[in-house]
Amino acid sequence: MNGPTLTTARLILRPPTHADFDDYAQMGAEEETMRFIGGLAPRDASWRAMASLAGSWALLGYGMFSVLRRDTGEWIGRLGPWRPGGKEGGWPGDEVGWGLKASAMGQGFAQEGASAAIDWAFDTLGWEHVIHCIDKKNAPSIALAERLGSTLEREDLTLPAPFDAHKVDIYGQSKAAWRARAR
Amino acid sequence: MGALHTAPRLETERLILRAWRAEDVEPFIAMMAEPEVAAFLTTTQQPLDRQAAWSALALILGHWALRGHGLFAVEEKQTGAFIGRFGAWAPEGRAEPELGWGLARAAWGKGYAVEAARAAGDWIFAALAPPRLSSFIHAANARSQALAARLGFRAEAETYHAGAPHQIWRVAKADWPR
Repeated sequence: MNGPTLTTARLILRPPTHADFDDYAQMGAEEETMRFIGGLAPRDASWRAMASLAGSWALLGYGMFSVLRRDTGEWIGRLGPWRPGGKEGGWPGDEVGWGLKASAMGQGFAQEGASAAIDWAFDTLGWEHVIHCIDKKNAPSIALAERLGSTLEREDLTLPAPFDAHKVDIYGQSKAAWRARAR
Repeated sequence: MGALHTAPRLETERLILRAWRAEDVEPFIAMMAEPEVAAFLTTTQQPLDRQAAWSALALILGHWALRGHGLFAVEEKQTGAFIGRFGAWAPEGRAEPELGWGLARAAWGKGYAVEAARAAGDWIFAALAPPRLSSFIHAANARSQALAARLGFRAEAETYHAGAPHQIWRVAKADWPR
């Protein structure tokens, strides 16, 4: 699989592989986790979702990473650069998105992984601005976007199908703002 | 331009089945916007817009990444033009691989479908060694049913698939023409 492996203090980020699928499908069955990121997904829908991430890597040279804990090797979620359709498509911008399984939440993993992914997107993909598409009711994700330094930019957007079930708000920041922040 | 993934290259008299390349993206999007093609090839039976076609292609490429096989891009030797996608389709939940086919409208009526489907089926039986291949065909898709029959498939069951009545056609390895 094309794509880099990024390493942070506690995490490994790499493109998804078939070995991740059982964990991916398990996360798709967590109601709380999936509420704002597409809803509960049966195994076949989880497979298509994960294949779409892998397909994004092939088509665009980027896509969401699988996130693994360095200490245990455990798969804990997926996050990273995401713009289905590419520049000519209907996505509202260059996104770094995130979703971790329930047992991995609340430990700063999402912030740690998203920071590495944003660094990589600005350094390697040449992005000038990053956005996060977040459901208005998804308070933990909004809090993370704000901890990353992003601010509310647009409200009540409908994403292209099949991501059009709920409206989202757009949080974001420029490359200059990201780089100016002391981290 | 280079291939977007690893895949074998299959040659027939008039066609090449190969890995997808960046320059196949636009003709694939155009093909999926053709009403006659989309009528039996999409889950809505409607033409796909650019975004939906891109997502369909991402799924095809993700299938290659996760499974190591999938639908090949098909190129007409004489012109180098992209004319369709043929190959294995085995997303999660399928008991046996499907032999998938789909040809851009401009390439119909030349015998390309049977030529590409034979090459793809030969490869699937050799590389994946399934006891049989299936094909989900829309109940009203007479052209595909005729192609399946010509390839040795038989209609074995009816099902509701992608929101529409479909027939499940199957062919055992022993009945595959060679």
